[in-house]
Order: sequence, then C-alpha cells, then structure tokens
Amino acid sequence: MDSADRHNWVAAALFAALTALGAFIRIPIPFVPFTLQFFFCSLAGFLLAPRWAFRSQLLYVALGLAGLPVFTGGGGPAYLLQPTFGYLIGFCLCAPATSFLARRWKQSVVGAFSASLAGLAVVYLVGVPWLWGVYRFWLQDPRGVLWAVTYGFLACVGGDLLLCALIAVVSRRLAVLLRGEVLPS
Amino acid sequence: MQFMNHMTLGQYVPADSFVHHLDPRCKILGTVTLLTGIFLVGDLRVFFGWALLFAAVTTLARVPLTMALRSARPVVFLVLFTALIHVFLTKGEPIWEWGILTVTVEGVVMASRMALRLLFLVLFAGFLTLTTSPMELSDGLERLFSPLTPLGFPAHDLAMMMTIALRFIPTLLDETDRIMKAQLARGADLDRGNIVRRLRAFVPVLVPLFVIVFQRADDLATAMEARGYRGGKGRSRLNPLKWRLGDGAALAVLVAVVALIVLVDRGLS
Amino acid sequence: MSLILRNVSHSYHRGTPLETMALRDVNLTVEPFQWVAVVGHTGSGKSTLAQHLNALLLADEGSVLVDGIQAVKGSKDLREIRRRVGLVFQYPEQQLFAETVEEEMAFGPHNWGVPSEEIPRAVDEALALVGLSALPRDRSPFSLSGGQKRRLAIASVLAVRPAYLVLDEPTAGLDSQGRRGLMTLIAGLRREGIAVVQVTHDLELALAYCDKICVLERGRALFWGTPQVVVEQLLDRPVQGLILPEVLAFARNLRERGFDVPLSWDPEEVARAIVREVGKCSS
Repeated sequence: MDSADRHNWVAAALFAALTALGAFIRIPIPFVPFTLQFFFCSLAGFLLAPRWAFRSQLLYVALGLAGLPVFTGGGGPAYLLQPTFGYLIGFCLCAPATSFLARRWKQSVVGAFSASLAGLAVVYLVGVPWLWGVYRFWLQDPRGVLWAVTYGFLACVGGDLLLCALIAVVSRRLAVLLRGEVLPS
Repeated sequence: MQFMNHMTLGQYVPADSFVHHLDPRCKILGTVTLLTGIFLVGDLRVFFGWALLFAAVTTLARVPLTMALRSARPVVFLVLFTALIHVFLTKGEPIWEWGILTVTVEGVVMASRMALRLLFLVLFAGFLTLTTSPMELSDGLERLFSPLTPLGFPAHDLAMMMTIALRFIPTLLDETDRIMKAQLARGADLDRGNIVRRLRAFVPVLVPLFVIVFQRADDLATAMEARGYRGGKGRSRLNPLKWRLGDGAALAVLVAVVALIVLVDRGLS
Repeated sequence: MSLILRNVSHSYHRGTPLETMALRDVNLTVEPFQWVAVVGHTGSGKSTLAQHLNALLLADEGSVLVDGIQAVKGSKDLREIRRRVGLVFQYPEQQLFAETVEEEMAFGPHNWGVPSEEIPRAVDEALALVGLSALPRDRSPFSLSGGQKRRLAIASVLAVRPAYLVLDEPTAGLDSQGRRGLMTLIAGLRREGIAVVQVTHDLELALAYCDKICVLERGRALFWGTPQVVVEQLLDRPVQGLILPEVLAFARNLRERGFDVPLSWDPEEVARAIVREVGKCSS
C-alpha cells in the first residue's frame, strides 16, 4: 500500500464514520425530522475520487451490517432483509456517481446542486425498484408500482431535496478551501 | 442538546459463554447455514424445530431470551403487516368471512410461513451480532474473504478501514458536539426559524467538521506510515484467529441439526 | 454588575446508570476588570463550569446570575447572557468556517441582530483588541497562520462586545512565546474593562497572571482567593493533578530548612532572597 493509497483509504474510512455520524445528527424540523446520512454520502462524492467515494459508503454499509445502529432502522445483518436496504445500495452507487459528475459540474452552486440531485436520483432509482421487488418477489405481497413510488419516493424526497441545497452550499465552500490547497487532500 | 442521539455499541452483549468464545468464522458460517436452512423449510410444524434450536443456542450463549428476542424488534411491524396481507388476500378455501374480508386456510398458512420465516431469519442473524463484537466480525469476515484478494476484493484493507471508521465515530461525534457548542456560544440559532434558516445555520458546524476530518485523515495516514503500515501483505497479527477443535465440532453439529430439520421438512411435505 | 455562581451543581446523564456529578456546590464571583482563573486537573469539571458561565449548560441545582439576569431554562434572557459572556473553546481555530475574515467576524454580530451599518466598526474594534487590525478583511481565515487563526477566533467572539470573556485552555498547543503573547493579549482585554475567566490546568500560569484563583477538584471548588492565599492552602493540602511550580516547591523546601525565603513562584524574588540568605551565612 503506497502513500497515496493509504491517504485515500483513511479518508474513505473517516467518511464512512461521517455517514454513520449522520445517522445521529437529527435536524429538528416540523413533521419529519431527518438525518444527515445522505448529506455525508453525497459530500463523500464531492470530496473523494469515484473509487474511494464508493469504498467509503461500502464501509459504512458494512459497519451497519456488522451490528452498529447506523441505519435509519438500526443495524445488524438482518437489515439485508429490510425492504429499505435498496437505499443503502443506492448510497454506495450515489457517491461514485456524484464524484464523477461533481468533477465536471461543481464550478457553480447550480452545478453542485445538479450533481447532488443526480446522486439523489441514483439513490431512489435503486431504492424504489428494490422496495417494489422485495415486496413483489420475496414477501409475495405485490403492491403496485404506484404504491412503491408514493411510499418510497414522494413521502421522503422533500427532506432530501433540502439537503441537496445544503450540500451545494457546503461543497462550494469546501471546494474553495481545497482549491486554495489549504486542506490537505 | 437534543440533536445528538447517544450511540450504544449496537447489539453486542459481552458474556463469558461457549458461543462467545467461538471463532467468529465458525459463527459466520454457522449463521449462513442456518439462514439457508430457514429458506429451505416450508412445513409449519418444522418451524418448531427452529424455535427449539434458537432457545438452545441462546441458553448456550448465556444471553437472556428476552434480549435475544429483542433483535427482532425492527421487523415486527413488517412481519405483522405482511402476515395480515397474506391472511386476507390469499385465495382459497374460506374459513371466516366478514363483509369483503375473507380469511382462507391457504391465507393463514401462507401468512404464518412468511411471518415465521422472516422472524427466524432476523432472530438468528441478530444472534450473530449479539454474540460477536463488530471487531471480531470484521476479523472473521476478513479471514473468510482473504482468498478473494488476488481476484480484486481487498478484504484486509476493508476490514482495517472498518476498524478505523468504527474507532472514529465517537471521536467525530465529540468534535461535532464541540463545534456546535462553539457556534451556539457565538449566537448561532440551530433550533429556531424556518427550515431554510435552520439548514443554513448548520453550515458553520459542517464546514469546520470537514476541515477537521481532512486534517485527521492526513495525520492518521502519516502516523500509519511512520509505524510501517504497508497494507495486509505479509502482516502478522497480535491475536490471530485460531480455529480450534471446538469450532469444528460446533459447526459440524449445527450443520447436522440443520440438515436433519430440512430432511424432516422434506419428509413431511 | 458581576457574574455570580451560587451552589451550582450539575450532573451528566441524569437518571441513567451512567450518571456522573460534574460539579458539586460550586461558588464563584467574577467582578469587572478581574482576571479569574479556574484551575483543576482533567475531569475536575472545569469545562463544565465554563459552559455554565454563558448558560450553554444550565445548573441542576443552584443559580447563575449574569449582571442580575438569572439563567433559567427556556428563559428569553438566555440569549442576552450569551451575548454578555463570550466563550472561547479550546483550540478555537477549529470553529472557523467562513470564506473571508469579514464574514467570520460578522457571524456573531449578525446572529445577535446588530444593525449592518454598525458591524464594520465592531469588527475593526475587535480585531484591534487582538492585534490583527492590519489583516485584510477579504482574506480566507484558513490561509492564516495558527497563531493568527486563534486570535481571529477570539476576535470573532469579542465582536459583540461581551462584558465577560471565558477562555477554555487558551494556551493549548502554544509554545512559551505564544503563551506570553496570548497573556499579553488578555491583559489588554482587561484594560478595556472585559472581565476574563481563564480555565486552565496550568497552575503556574494562573499564579503568574490572575487576580483570583478557583481550584477545582472532582467537581468541588476547594479553594478560592488571591494567588498568595491559594498557594498557602495548596501547600497545606495538595490537590489531585495540580503540580506546584518548581520555584515554589524549592522555596518551600528552603523555608523548611530554616531559610527566610518568601513563598513565591517568582524566580527573581526567590533568587534575591537566596542571595541575601547566603550573604548572611558567610558573614
């Protein structure tokens, strides 16, 4: 393992810790307080190269499956059976996708917002079909596509859209710091 | 400060038992065997066998049954909901009717099977994390998956980094708390105003957090290099996992029991 | 107008098996123009106490009065208390987040509703207090040196003109020159009328600079008084985690052997006494 790899691995590990941390930071807003897991997942995409962003989220999911209560509904290997597990797979794919796009788009706040939106889309594009599929095939309890879209997307996307705005703002500020090479990276 | 939930160690409950002392690889493989068996079984009566087995391993692990059952808590709602759907929506021979709701024999059987299957899957999987600490699991998985490394799956690196991530979660929690307090002392309003204001108020907490994370990553990587860390190749361990006779015996017994239950199921159907 | 803590007690994780008492029945008074030190070992409750001074934490028992305002849970006056009592945490440079010095400095005033026209002047005054007047306002805070960052962080708390300033281990990570510079800075603040409370584990520092010292041990305020008084009490009864300054220990040992040397931590004073005593011996 050479020096660059070591730095990248450690960064991936710390970003995994941050995503786990996101499960414990609750933003108190009326109706549906939400957690910051998606926030840190997306920012891993903005701040790490695609391969390492992927690994950071993979580590996060591994930690949760190993028993740490860092998922919305707790943790443990049983989480593989939860219909919402698809979203976690979505996280793993969102980070590298965001990383790939952010390299090109993050020159402006709008660009950063678009990149985080695209990442969010990945999460739902994986999570919603997974939700539908688990109910349809495994639990043998078919629910319509409409149900999956309503329950698995429309009900939760509001908070995530707000997070995208926050992500855009924070990533811009951090980009300035990185460009000025003030941050070690 | 209502922002931070406090983290417990997850589900791991330390105890001095035969099960706790087993090699984590044995436990992982055993759990996989169990989960496979549960999937293969369909006859409702055979689930009684799983219940007995669960009670047996829980006793061996010196874990109170109530605690072991608690690992099913996250899926209770799911199980009940699924069962209800199956009970009312499966077509077949009706045994009870009330308006448009029909309960059929097939429905009850189907519901019970799905519910019990789900329940036992979760219970046995939860039992693994109940008796094996995340560190041990990480070690065990690393050893099990290390043959895959030449094929591109970096087992050791993932395991090592899982350890580091785990170790840093409480540290980062503290840092976040500290930064939040510092900004609160400067008048930041983290719990007043509309949604947009509240989110913006978190920027002075989140930006410094990332700066700290990057600095720590840099320091840690340098420290690892200074101590000669070069990845998993050729690296020895302080407490290597030792596969003992007890592990082999336990696993063999478990596989035999599971095979027996599956055979009984085949015989009954 | 003063900051008064009366019989303050505070425990963490109340009602759970992990309950720990961080502060027990602590009394403290800070008057204007004073420089008070709160000294104790790690875990003595110093940081907890610091957070009570600006109502970041609220006491389970006892009362905290800031210029006559009570710190009560849910009270609207808590914000006023936080404005009057500035709190600078350990390694304050870690709280910097803004893109420019201007933005960083304006953060506090904005939060407290200071009108926009008045902010530039407040910023100028605060930066002058820490010796950073010449700093270009559009610089990035992250491009500054470590020492400048710390001063900037302190200035950002001073921007709302607090009457009291609480500093938690302000000299952490500084070399002796940096320490002296910071103490000079604080002395300057005092001249401006800001009362300073310094939380530290460094007894020597506290003795050298402060008017009054409060010694904490395991959450209890053991001693309270001027450095001389506290030193006498400390010599009588050692406190966990607090090491006496070497010069003082040396002076004490000499006294025990019958030499007339003052109980002082000032090397020059003790040296002069030794010279005098040696002169007496040889004559």
